[in-house]
Amino acid sequence: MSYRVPDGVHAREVDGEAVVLDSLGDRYFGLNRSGLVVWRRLSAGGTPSEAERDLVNLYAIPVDQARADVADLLRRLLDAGLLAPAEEG
Amino acid sequence: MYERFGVRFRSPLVLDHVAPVSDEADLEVRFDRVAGAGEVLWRSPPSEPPFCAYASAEGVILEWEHARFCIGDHTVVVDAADHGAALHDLIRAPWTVVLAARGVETLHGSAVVLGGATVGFLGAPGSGKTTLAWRLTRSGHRLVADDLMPFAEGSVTPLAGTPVLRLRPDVAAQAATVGDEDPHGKFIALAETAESPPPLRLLLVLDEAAATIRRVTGAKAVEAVRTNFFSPVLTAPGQVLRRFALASELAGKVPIVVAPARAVGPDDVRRILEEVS
Repeated sequence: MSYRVPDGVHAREVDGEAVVLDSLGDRYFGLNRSGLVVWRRLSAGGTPSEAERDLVNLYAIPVDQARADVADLLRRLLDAGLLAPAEEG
Repeated sequence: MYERFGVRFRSPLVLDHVAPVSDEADLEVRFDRVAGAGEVLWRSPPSEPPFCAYASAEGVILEWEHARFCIGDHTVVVDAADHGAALHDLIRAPWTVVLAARGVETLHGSAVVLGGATVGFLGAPGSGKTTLAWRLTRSGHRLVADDLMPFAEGSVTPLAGTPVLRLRPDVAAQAATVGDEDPHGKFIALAETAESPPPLRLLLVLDEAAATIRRVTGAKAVEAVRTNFFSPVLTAPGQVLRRFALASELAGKVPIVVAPARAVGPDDVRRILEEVS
């Protein structure tokens, strides 16, 4: 499954991290370096599996850990409305 | 005719310490009645002095107990019993609405020129921004701005303000000469200003919650800037994105250092600037 950035959500990269502005414009979400890696992949239409591979390749972490990290971040991004399933729109 | 952060305006009263100019005015200030009505943009919580901002067909209305301002594209109507005090107030908080309509976002801070660079101090009221800026101006450094620190769209160097600092009574007591007390209990101190401020090389955020001096980067730096915009009220189209862009640009291009409120002196500032340069 792939995802998209909803209208009104904006992101900027700062010092190797990301800051994402929600669609209401009243909350900023910070993503650390590994979060930025995942954000780059998912916001560009990539899948969670691809984001997991990015983390494994960049940080040499176990696949299970990468899967858990991506799933956790994806859930939080979806809950906050910063990403949406691509099928919706 | 006067000029304040790049906006030329005609005032019905003489304004001390605001640059007089001879160009054509962009804004006309006049006294008249202002109705406190419209779509509510912001209302202060009960714990704070009463304040409300409205959007109306005539413009943005800012309402305090002592004055109302209606800020349109090229007109500001001031409604107050004390005209002089109201005009004094106009060039502070309401001016951020004037600036926002022109694409300029304003941080709550003071700035001085130090070693060929501009150094800015951000923080909540009472955090020591003005005191620190004033102490630096006393040792010969030029003032860039006090209280309002505005940035033109796309720029990370603050606009130059007036040669005025507003000191708390306890700080004013240390000054050799200060002016009259203003309606808010602060005292005017004058300083030489930098007409063309050099690039901003340090933003020092004076934070009540900070225990130590530490540099912040990335998302934390953006957050440190974001929480120090002068006003929470959004009055102009595109302002959310402009603020987001400014906070991100500053965090990416200017070292952001958080320090305990009221605990930093001029020597600390010089040392921090040297460390981040």
